[in-house]
Amino acid sequence: MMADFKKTMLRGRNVIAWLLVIMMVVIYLRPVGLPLVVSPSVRCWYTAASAMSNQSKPVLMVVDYTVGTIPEAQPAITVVTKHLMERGVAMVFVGSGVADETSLMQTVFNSVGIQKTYKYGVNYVGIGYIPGGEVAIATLGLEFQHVAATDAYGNPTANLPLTKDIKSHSDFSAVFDFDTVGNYPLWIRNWAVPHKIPLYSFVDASDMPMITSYYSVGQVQGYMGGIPGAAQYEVLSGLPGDALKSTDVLSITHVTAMILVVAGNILYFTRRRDQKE
Amino acid sequence: MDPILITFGTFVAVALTVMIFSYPLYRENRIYRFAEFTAVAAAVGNATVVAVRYLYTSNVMPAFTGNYLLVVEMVFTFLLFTTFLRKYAYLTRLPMSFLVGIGSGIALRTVLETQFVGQIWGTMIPLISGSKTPVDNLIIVVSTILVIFYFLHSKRLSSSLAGRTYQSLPKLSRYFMMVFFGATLGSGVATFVIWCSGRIMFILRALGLM
Repeated sequence: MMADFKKTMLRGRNVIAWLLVIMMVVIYLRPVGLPLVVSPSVRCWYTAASAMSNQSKPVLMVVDYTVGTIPEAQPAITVVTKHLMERGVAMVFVGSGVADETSLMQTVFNSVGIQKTYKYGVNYVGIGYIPGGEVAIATLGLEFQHVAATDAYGNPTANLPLTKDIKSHSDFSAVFDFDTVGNYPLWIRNWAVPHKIPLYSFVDASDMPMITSYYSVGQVQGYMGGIPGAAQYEVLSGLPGDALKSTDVLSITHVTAMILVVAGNILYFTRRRDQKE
Repeated sequence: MDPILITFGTFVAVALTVMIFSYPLYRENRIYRFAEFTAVAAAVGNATVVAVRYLYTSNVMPAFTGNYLLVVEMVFTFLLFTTFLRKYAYLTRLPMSFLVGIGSGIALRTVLETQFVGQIWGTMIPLISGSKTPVDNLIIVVSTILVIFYFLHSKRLSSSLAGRTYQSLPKLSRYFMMVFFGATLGSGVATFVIWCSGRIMFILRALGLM
Protein backbone atom coordinates (compact mmCIF):
# COMPACT_ATOMS: atom_id res chain seq x y z
CA MET A 1 0.00 0.00 0.00
CA MET A 2 2.74 2.43 1.07
CA ALA A 3 4.91 1.43 -1.89
CA ASP A 4 2.00 2.10 -4.25
CA PHE A 5 1.46 5.50 -2.66
CA LYS A 6 5.17 6.41 -3.04
CA LYS A 7 5.12 5.26 -6.67
CA THR A 8 2.06 7.40 -7.40
CA MET A 9 3.66 10.42 -5.72
CA LEU A 10 6.88 9.96 -7.71
CA ARG A 11 4.95 9.68 -10.95
CA GLY A 12 2.97 12.81 -10.03
CA ARG A 13 6.22 14.70 -9.42
CA ASN A 14 7.56 13.62 -12.80
CA VAL A 15 4.36 14.71 -14.54
CA ILE A 16 4.59 18.17 -12.93
CA ALA A 17 8.27 18.47 -13.90
CA TRP A 18 7.49 17.54 -17.52
CA LEU A 19 4.56 19.97 -17.57
CA LEU A 20 6.75 22.84 -16.32
CA VAL A 21 9.59 22.08 -18.75
CA ILE A 22 7.20 21.91 -21.73
CA MET A 23 5.57 25.18 -20.63
CA MET A 24 8.96 26.89 -20.36
CA VAL A 25 9.99 25.77 -23.85
CA VAL A 26 6.69 26.95 -25.35
CA ILE A 27 6.81 30.35 -23.59
CA TYR A 28 10.43 30.95 -24.64
CA LEU A 29 9.54 30.17 -28.24
CA ARG A 30 6.26 32.13 -28.15
CA PRO A 31 6.63 34.98 -25.58
CA VAL A 32 3.41 36.44 -24.16
CA GLY A 33 4.74 39.88 -23.12
CA LEU A 34 3.03 40.27 -19.75
CA PRO A 35 3.09 43.83 -18.32
CA LEU A 36 5.82 44.78 -15.83
CA VAL A 37 5.62 47.28 -12.95
CA VAL A 38 8.90 48.99 -11.97
CA SER A 39 9.54 48.97 -8.23
CA PRO A 40 11.01 52.02 -6.40
CA SER A 41 14.11 50.06 -5.32
CA VAL A 42 15.05 49.34 -8.97
CA ARG A 43 14.25 52.92 -9.97
CA CYS A 44 16.64 54.18 -7.24
CA TRP A 45 19.45 52.07 -8.70
CA TYR A 46 18.70 53.18 -12.27
CA THR A 47 18.56 56.85 -11.22
CA ALA A 48 21.92 56.58 -9.42
CA ALA A 49 23.57 54.92 -12.43
CA SER A 50 22.02 57.47 -14.79
CA ALA A 51 23.52 60.32 -12.75
CA MET A 52 27.05 58.98 -13.28
CA SER A 53 29.34 60.00 -16.12
CA ASN A 54 32.90 59.53 -17.32
CA GLN A 55 33.91 62.19 -14.77
CA SER A 56 32.61 60.09 -11.86
CA LYS A 57 34.82 58.00 -9.64
CA PRO A 58 34.88 54.32 -10.67
CA VAL A 59 32.14 51.95 -9.56
CA LEU A 60 33.14 48.81 -7.69
CA MET A 61 31.29 45.96 -9.42
CA VAL A 62 31.07 42.98 -7.09
CA VAL A 63 30.64 39.69 -8.98
CA ASP A 64 29.41 37.51 -6.12
CA TYR A 65 27.55 34.71 -7.83
CA THR A 66 28.30 31.19 -8.92
CA VAL A 67 28.16 29.31 -12.21
CA GLY A 68 24.92 27.65 -11.06
CA THR A 69 23.19 31.00 -10.58
CA ILE A 70 24.18 32.53 -13.93
CA PRO A 71 20.57 32.39 -15.25
CA GLU A 72 19.47 34.72 -12.47
CA ALA A 73 22.45 37.02 -11.89
CA GLN A 74 23.99 37.42 -15.31
CA PRO A 75 21.07 39.32 -16.91
CA ALA A 76 21.28 41.85 -14.06
CA ILE A 77 25.04 42.47 -14.22
CA THR A 78 24.88 42.55 -18.02
CA VAL A 79 22.24 45.27 -18.22
CA VAL A 80 23.87 47.40 -15.49
CA THR A 81 27.33 47.08 -17.10
CA LYS A 82 25.88 48.05 -20.48
CA HIS A 83 24.13 51.03 -18.90
CA LEU A 84 27.35 52.20 -17.22
CA MET A 85 29.23 51.73 -20.49
CA GLU A 86 26.71 54.01 -22.21
CA ARG A 87 27.47 56.63 -19.55
CA GLY A 88 31.24 56.12 -19.85
CA VAL A 89 31.62 55.17 -16.19
CA ALA A 90 34.84 53.40 -15.15
CA MET A 91 34.42 50.05 -13.41
CA VAL A 92 36.53 47.82 -11.18
CA PHE A 93 35.30 44.21 -11.03
CA VAL A 94 35.97 42.14 -7.95
CA GLY A 95 34.61 38.94 -6.38
CA SER A 96 34.49 37.99 -2.72
CA GLY A 97 32.38 34.87 -2.56
CA VAL A 98 33.59 31.88 -4.55
CA ALA A 99 36.46 31.15 -6.94
CA ASP A 100 34.16 30.90 -9.98
CA GLU A 101 33.90 34.66 -9.96
CA THR A 102 37.11 35.30 -11.88
CA SER A 103 35.87 33.32 -14.88
CA LEU A 104 32.35 34.74 -14.49
CA MET A 105 33.81 38.25 -14.64
CA GLN A 106 35.41 37.32 -17.96
CA THR A 107 32.05 35.98 -19.16
CA VAL A 108 30.46 39.36 -18.39
CA PHE A 109 33.22 41.16 -20.32
CA ASN A 110 32.56 38.93 -23.33
CA SER A 111 28.76 39.13 -23.17
CA VAL A 112 28.66 42.96 -23.10
CA GLY A 113 31.54 43.33 -25.56
CA ILE A 114 33.38 45.65 -23.20
CA GLN A 115 36.61 45.47 -25.23
CA LYS A 116 34.93 47.22 -28.17
CA THR A 117 34.43 50.55 -26.40
CA TYR A 118 36.43 50.35 -23.19
CA LYS A 119 40.19 50.05 -22.78
CA TYR A 120 41.45 47.59 -20.19
CA GLY A 121 43.31 49.29 -17.34
CA VAL A 122 41.94 52.71 -18.29
CA ASN A 123 38.13 52.29 -18.24
CA TYR A 124 37.80 48.93 -16.53
CA VAL A 125 39.87 46.53 -14.48
CA GLY A 126 39.13 42.96 -13.41
CA ILE A 127 40.59 42.14 -10.02
CA GLY A 128 38.81 38.79 -9.86
CA TYR A 129 38.16 36.68 -6.81
CA ILE A 130 39.77 37.69 -3.53
CA PRO A 131 39.73 35.00 -0.83
CA GLY A 132 39.34 35.95 2.81
CA GLY A 133 35.62 36.62 3.23
CA GLU A 134 34.68 39.45 5.56
CA VAL A 135 38.28 40.24 6.51
CA ALA A 136 39.21 40.70 2.85
CA ILE A 137 36.13 42.85 2.17
CA ALA A 138 36.85 45.08 5.18
CA THR A 139 40.55 45.43 4.32
CA LEU A 140 39.81 46.09 0.63
CA GLY A 141 38.05 49.27 1.71
CA LEU A 142 41.01 50.39 3.81
CA GLU A 143 44.05 49.15 1.88
CA PHE A 144 42.94 48.53 -1.66
CA GLN A 145 46.46 48.26 -3.14
CA HIS A 146 47.48 45.68 -0.55
CA VAL A 147 44.47 43.36 -0.88
CA ALA A 148 44.18 43.78 -4.65
CA ALA A 149 47.89 43.87 -5.40
CA THR A 150 47.41 42.34 -8.85
CA ASP A 151 44.47 42.00 -11.21
CA ALA A 152 43.07 38.68 -12.45
CA TYR A 153 45.69 38.59 -15.21
CA GLY A 154 48.71 39.16 -12.95
CA ASN A 155 49.20 42.89 -13.70
CA PRO A 156 50.12 44.97 -10.62
CA THR A 157 47.18 47.30 -9.87
CA ALA A 158 49.67 50.01 -8.96
CA ASN A 159 50.72 50.10 -12.64
CA LEU A 160 47.23 50.32 -14.17
CA PRO A 161 46.03 53.90 -14.89
CA LEU A 162 42.56 53.28 -13.40
CA THR A 163 43.65 51.63 -10.16
CA LYS A 164 47.01 53.25 -9.45
CA ASP A 165 45.41 56.08 -7.48
CA ILE A 166 42.79 53.96 -5.69
CA LYS A 167 43.77 53.74 -2.05
CA SER A 168 40.52 53.06 -0.22
CA HIS A 169 36.70 53.03 -0.29
CA SER A 170 36.57 56.81 -0.76
CA ASP A 171 38.00 56.42 -4.27
CA PHE A 172 34.81 54.69 -5.46
CA SER A 173 31.53 56.42 -6.23
CA ALA A 174 29.40 53.39 -5.35
CA VAL A 175 29.36 49.63 -4.91
CA PHE A 176 27.15 47.64 -7.29
CA ASP A 177 26.89 44.19 -5.77
CA PHE A 178 25.56 41.19 -7.72
CA ASP A 179 25.08 38.57 -5.10
CA THR A 180 23.62 35.09 -4.92
CA VAL A 181 26.02 33.70 -2.30
CA GLY A 182 24.64 35.75 0.60
CA ASN A 183 27.59 38.14 0.91
CA TYR A 184 25.65 41.40 0.65
CA PRO A 185 25.43 41.84 4.48
CA LEU A 186 29.25 41.85 4.53
CA TRP A 187 29.33 44.78 2.07
CA ILE A 188 26.66 46.55 4.09
CA ARG A 189 28.59 46.03 7.32
CA ASN A 190 32.03 46.94 6.01
CA TRP A 191 31.42 49.49 3.25
CA ALA A 192 27.92 50.97 3.20
CA VAL A 193 27.31 51.69 6.87
CA PRO A 194 30.74 52.58 8.32
CA HIS A 195 32.05 54.49 5.27
CA LYS A 196 28.74 55.77 3.84
CA ILE A 197 29.48 54.33 0.37
CA PRO A 198 26.22 53.99 -1.61
CA LEU A 199 25.51 50.29 -2.01
CA TYR A 200 23.15 48.86 -4.62
CA SER A 201 22.63 45.15 -4.43
CA PHE A 202 21.21 42.48 -6.70
CA VAL A 203 20.07 39.41 -4.79
CA ASP A 204 18.40 36.20 -5.89
CA ALA A 205 14.65 36.03 -5.45
CA SER A 206 14.91 33.93 -2.29
CA ASP A 207 16.88 36.71 -0.55
CA MET A 208 14.38 39.46 -1.41
CA PRO A 209 12.43 39.34 1.86
CA MET A 210 15.72 39.76 3.74
CA ILE A 211 17.25 42.63 1.77
CA THR A 212 14.02 44.62 2.03
CA SER A 213 14.77 45.23 5.70
CA TYR A 214 18.18 46.75 4.84
CA TYR A 215 16.65 48.87 2.09
CA SER A 216 13.89 50.23 4.31
CA VAL A 217 16.41 51.59 6.84
CA GLY A 218 18.64 53.08 4.14
CA GLN A 219 21.59 50.73 4.53
CA VAL A 220 21.12 49.66 0.91
CA GLN A 221 20.25 52.50 -1.48
CA GLY A 222 18.55 50.29 -4.04
CA TYR A 223 18.14 46.65 -4.92
CA MET A 224 17.04 44.25 -7.61
CA GLY A 225 15.45 40.95 -6.71
CA GLY A 226 16.00 38.10 -9.11
CA ILE A 227 14.92 38.09 -12.72
CA PRO A 228 11.92 40.45 -12.19
CA GLY A 229 14.30 43.12 -10.81
CA ALA A 230 16.70 42.72 -13.72
CA ALA A 231 13.78 42.87 -16.18
CA GLN A 232 12.58 46.13 -14.62
CA TYR A 233 16.08 47.60 -15.05
CA GLU A 234 16.07 46.45 -18.68
CA VAL A 235 12.77 48.28 -19.23
CA LEU A 236 14.03 51.47 -17.56
CA SER A 237 17.34 51.51 -19.43
CA GLY A 238 15.82 50.52 -22.76
CA LEU A 239 18.26 47.63 -23.04
CA PRO A 240 16.11 44.49 -23.35
CA GLY A 241 17.88 41.24 -22.57
CA ASP A 242 17.50 37.77 -21.12
CA ALA A 243 15.63 38.95 -18.00
CA LEU A 244 12.68 40.27 -20.00
CA LYS A 245 12.56 36.98 -21.92
CA SER A 246 12.39 35.05 -18.64
CA THR A 247 9.72 37.09 -16.84
CA ASP A 248 6.88 35.49 -18.80
CA VAL A 249 8.24 32.04 -17.91
CA LEU A 250 8.48 33.00 -14.24
CA SER A 251 4.97 34.47 -14.06
CA ILE A 252 3.21 31.65 -15.90
CA THR A 253 5.04 28.82 -14.09
CA HIS A 254 4.17 30.51 -10.78
CA VAL A 255 0.50 30.70 -11.67
CA THR A 256 0.67 27.02 -12.67
CA ALA A 257 2.34 26.14 -9.36
CA MET A 258 -0.37 28.02 -7.45
CA ILE A 259 -3.12 26.22 -9.38
CA LEU A 260 -1.43 22.88 -8.62
CA VAL A 261 -1.15 23.75 -4.91
CA VAL A 262 -4.86 24.69 -4.75
CA ALA A 263 -5.86 21.59 -6.77
CA GLY A 264 -3.72 19.38 -4.54
CA ASN A 265 -5.33 20.78 -1.40
CA ILE A 266 -8.85 20.35 -2.80
CA LEU A 267 -8.05 16.74 -3.72
CA TYR A 268 -6.53 16.08 -0.29
CA PHE A 269 -9.48 17.47 1.67
CA THR A 270 -12.03 15.79 -0.61
CA ARG A 271 -10.32 12.42 -0.13
CA ARG A 272 -10.16 12.95 3.64
CA ARG A 273 -13.86 13.82 3.76
CA ASP A 274 -14.72 10.73 1.69
CA GLN A 275 -12.65 8.52 4.00
CA LYS A 276 -14.46 9.92 7.06
CA GLU A 277 -17.84 9.19 5.48
CA MET B 1 38.81 30.93 -28.64
CA ASP B 2 38.86 28.22 -31.30
CA PRO B 3 35.30 27.73 -32.74
CA ILE B 4 35.73 23.94 -32.51
CA LEU B 5 36.45 24.25 -28.80
CA ILE B 6 33.38 26.49 -28.32
CA THR B 7 31.17 23.95 -30.15
CA PHE B 8 32.63 21.11 -28.10
CA GLY B 9 32.10 23.08 -24.85
CA THR B 10 28.48 23.83 -25.79
CA PHE B 11 27.88 20.15 -26.62
CA VAL B 12 29.30 19.07 -23.23
CA ALA B 13 27.23 21.72 -21.41
CA VAL B 14 24.01 20.64 -23.17
CA ALA B 15 24.74 16.97 -22.42
CA LEU B 16 25.44 17.68 -18.72
CA THR B 17 22.26 19.78 -18.47
CA VAL B 18 20.14 16.97 -19.91
CA MET B 19 21.84 14.52 -17.50
CA ILE B 20 20.94 16.74 -14.53
CA PHE B 21 17.36 17.14 -15.82
CA SER B 22 16.99 13.37 -15.85
CA TYR B 23 16.54 13.50 -12.06
CA PRO B 24 13.32 15.59 -11.88
CA LEU B 25 11.99 14.26 -15.19
CA TYR B 26 12.64 10.59 -14.46
CA ARG B 27 14.32 9.65 -11.17
CA GLU B 28 17.77 9.48 -9.58
CA ASN B 29 20.08 7.52 -11.85
CA ARG B 30 23.75 6.97 -12.67
CA ILE B 31 23.82 9.51 -15.47
CA TYR B 32 22.51 12.19 -13.10
CA ARG B 33 25.07 11.26 -10.45
CA PHE B 34 27.90 11.39 -12.99
CA ALA B 35 26.89 14.95 -13.98
CA GLU B 36 26.49 15.96 -10.34
CA PHE B 37 29.95 14.68 -9.36
CA THR B 38 31.49 16.28 -12.45
CA ALA B 39 30.03 19.67 -11.47
CA VAL B 40 31.30 19.38 -7.89
CA ALA B 41 34.75 18.20 -8.99
CA ALA B 42 35.08 20.99 -11.55
CA ALA B 43 34.10 23.61 -8.94
CA VAL B 44 36.60 22.27 -6.38
CA GLY B 45 39.37 22.06 -9.00
CA ASN B 46 38.72 25.62 -10.15
CA ALA B 47 38.58 26.96 -6.58
CA THR B 48 41.88 25.29 -5.71
CA VAL B 49 43.68 26.72 -8.75
CA VAL B 50 42.32 30.24 -8.16
CA ALA B 51 43.18 30.20 -4.43
CA VAL B 52 46.72 28.87 -5.02
CA ARG B 53 47.26 31.43 -7.77
CA TYR B 54 46.05 34.24 -5.47
CA LEU B 55 48.40 33.08 -2.71
CA TYR B 56 51.28 32.96 -5.18
CA THR B 57 50.71 36.47 -6.57
CA SER B 58 49.73 38.21 -3.33
CA ASN B 59 51.98 36.45 -0.79
CA VAL B 60 54.69 34.18 -2.17
CA MET B 61 55.98 36.48 -4.93
CA PRO B 62 56.04 39.68 -2.81
CA ALA B 63 57.72 37.75 0.03
CA PHE B 64 60.60 36.76 -2.25
CA THR B 65 60.92 40.28 -3.61
CA GLY B 66 61.55 42.09 -0.33
CA ASN B 67 58.30 42.07 1.69
CA TYR B 68 59.63 39.69 4.35
CA LEU B 69 56.70 40.27 6.71
CA LEU B 70 54.65 38.05 4.41
CA VAL B 71 56.88 35.10 5.37
CA VAL B 72 55.19 35.21 8.80
CA GLU B 73 51.81 34.89 7.06
CA MET B 74 53.06 31.91 5.10
CA VAL B 75 54.42 30.22 8.23
CA PHE B 76 51.05 30.74 9.92
CA THR B 77 49.31 29.27 6.88
CA PHE B 78 51.44 26.14 7.06
CA LEU B 79 50.81 25.87 10.80
CA LEU B 80 47.14 25.29 9.98
CA PHE B 81 48.14 21.96 8.44
CA THR B 82 49.85 20.72 11.64
CA THR B 83 46.39 19.56 12.68
CA PHE B 84 47.14 16.40 10.67
CA LEU B 85 50.22 15.65 12.85
CA ARG B 86 49.13 14.57 16.30
CA LYS B 87 52.43 15.60 17.94
CA TYR B 88 52.30 19.18 16.62
CA ALA B 89 48.54 19.65 16.32
CA TYR B 90 48.53 22.23 19.13
CA LEU B 91 50.37 24.65 16.83
CA THR B 92 47.14 25.02 14.80
CA ARG B 93 45.78 27.12 17.64
CA LEU B 94 48.16 29.98 16.80
CA PRO B 95 46.78 30.80 13.32
CA MET B 96 43.27 29.79 14.38
CA SER B 97 43.33 32.28 17.26
CA PHE B 98 44.32 35.01 14.80
CA LEU B 99 41.61 34.02 12.33
CA VAL B 100 38.87 33.81 14.98
CA GLY B 101 40.07 36.97 16.71
CA ILE B 102 40.20 39.10 13.57
CA GLY B 103 36.92 37.67 12.25
CA SER B 104 35.08 38.27 15.52
CA GLY B 105 36.61 41.73 15.93
CA ILE B 106 35.50 42.88 12.50
CA ALA B 107 32.08 41.28 12.77
CA LEU B 108 31.35 42.62 16.27
CA ARG B 109 32.33 46.15 15.28
CA THR B 110 29.89 46.19 12.38
CA VAL B 111 27.13 43.67 13.13
CA LEU B 112 25.89 45.57 16.18
CA GLU B 113 25.59 48.80 14.23
CA THR B 114 23.98 47.43 11.05
CA GLN B 115 22.02 44.34 11.96
CA PHE B 116 21.03 45.17 15.52
CA VAL B 117 20.77 48.91 16.17
CA GLY B 118 20.03 49.72 12.51
CA GLN B 119 17.18 47.25 12.28
CA ILE B 120 15.63 48.34 15.59
CA TRP B 121 15.86 51.93 14.37
CA GLY B 122 14.08 50.87 11.18
CA THR B 123 11.00 49.74 13.09
CA MET B 124 10.68 53.05 14.97
CA ILE B 125 8.73 54.79 12.26
CA PRO B 126 5.90 57.33 12.26
CA LEU B 127 2.60 55.66 11.44
CA ILE B 128 1.23 58.36 9.16
CA SER B 129 4.17 59.96 7.30
CA GLY B 130 7.21 58.44 5.61
CA SER B 131 7.86 56.77 2.28
CA LYS B 132 5.41 53.93 2.94
CA THR B 133 1.64 53.99 3.30
CA PRO B 134 0.09 54.11 6.82
CA VAL B 135 -1.06 50.49 6.33
CA ASP B 136 2.52 49.37 5.60
CA ASN B 137 3.79 51.25 8.65
CA LEU B 138 1.09 49.74 10.84
CA ILE B 139 1.91 46.22 9.65
CA ILE B 140 5.64 46.76 10.38
CA VAL B 141 4.99 48.06 13.90
CA VAL B 142 2.31 45.51 14.83
CA SER B 143 4.18 42.51 13.39
CA THR B 144 7.43 43.54 15.13
CA ILE B 145 5.71 43.82 18.51
CA LEU B 146 3.78 40.57 18.06
CA VAL B 147 6.77 38.52 16.91
CA ILE B 148 8.86 39.79 19.86
CA PHE B 149 5.91 38.91 22.08
CA TYR B 150 5.91 35.34 20.70
CA PHE B 151 9.44 34.76 21.98
CA LEU B 152 8.75 36.11 25.47
CA HIS B 153 7.49 32.68 26.61
CA SER B 154 4.85 34.43 28.70
CA LYS B 155 3.02 32.71 31.51
CA ARG B 156 -0.60 31.55 31.39
CA LEU B 157 -2.92 34.15 32.86
CA SER B 158 -6.38 34.01 34.33
CA SER B 159 -9.46 33.15 32.24
CA SER B 160 -10.60 36.77 32.23
CA LEU B 161 -11.09 38.58 28.90
CA ALA B 162 -7.72 40.30 29.27
CA GLY B 163 -6.08 36.98 30.04
CA ARG B 164 -7.70 35.23 27.08
CA THR B 165 -6.68 38.07 24.74
CA TYR B 166 -3.13 37.90 26.08
CA GLN B 167 -3.01 34.17 25.41
CA SER B 168 -4.31 34.50 21.85
CA LEU B 169 -1.56 36.94 20.83
CA PRO B 170 1.13 34.28 20.21
CA LYS B 171 -1.21 32.66 17.67
CA LEU B 172 -1.47 35.96 15.82
CA SER B 173 2.34 36.27 15.96
CA ARG B 174 2.62 32.83 14.42
CA TYR B 175 0.47 33.97 11.46
CA PHE B 176 2.82 36.90 10.80
CA MET B 177 5.82 34.57 10.91
CA MET B 178 4.08 32.12 8.58
CA VAL B 179 3.45 34.92 6.09
CA PHE B 180 7.19 35.72 6.16
CA PHE B 181 8.20 32.07 5.80
CA GLY B 182 5.68 31.67 2.98
CA ALA B 183 7.11 34.72 1.17
CA THR B 184 10.64 33.34 1.58
CA LEU B 185 9.61 29.91 0.31
CA GLY B 186 7.75 31.43 -2.64
CA SER B 187 10.81 33.50 -3.53
CA GLY B 188 12.95 30.37 -3.24
CA VAL B 189 10.69 28.59 -5.72
CA ALA B 190 11.10 31.55 -8.08
CA THR B 191 14.89 31.14 -7.84
CA PHE B 192 14.72 27.44 -8.70
CA VAL B 193 12.36 28.07 -11.61
CA ILE B 194 14.77 30.65 -13.03
CA TRP B 195 17.79 28.35 -12.67
CA CYS B 196 15.83 25.67 -14.51
CA SER B 197 14.49 28.02 -17.21
CA GLY B 198 18.00 29.45 -17.71
CA ARG B 199 19.27 26.02 -18.67
CA ILE B 200 16.30 25.51 -21.01
CA MET B 201 17.09 28.86 -22.64
CA PHE B 202 20.70 27.70 -23.03
CA ILE B 203 19.63 24.44 -24.72
CA LEU B 204 17.22 26.27 -27.03
CA ARG B 205 20.00 28.68 -28.02
CA ALA B 206 22.45 25.83 -28.56
CA LEU B 207 19.90 24.19 -30.87
CA GLY B 208 19.45 27.47 -32.72
CA LEU B 209 15.78 27.80 -31.72
CA MET B 210 16.19 31.19 -29.97
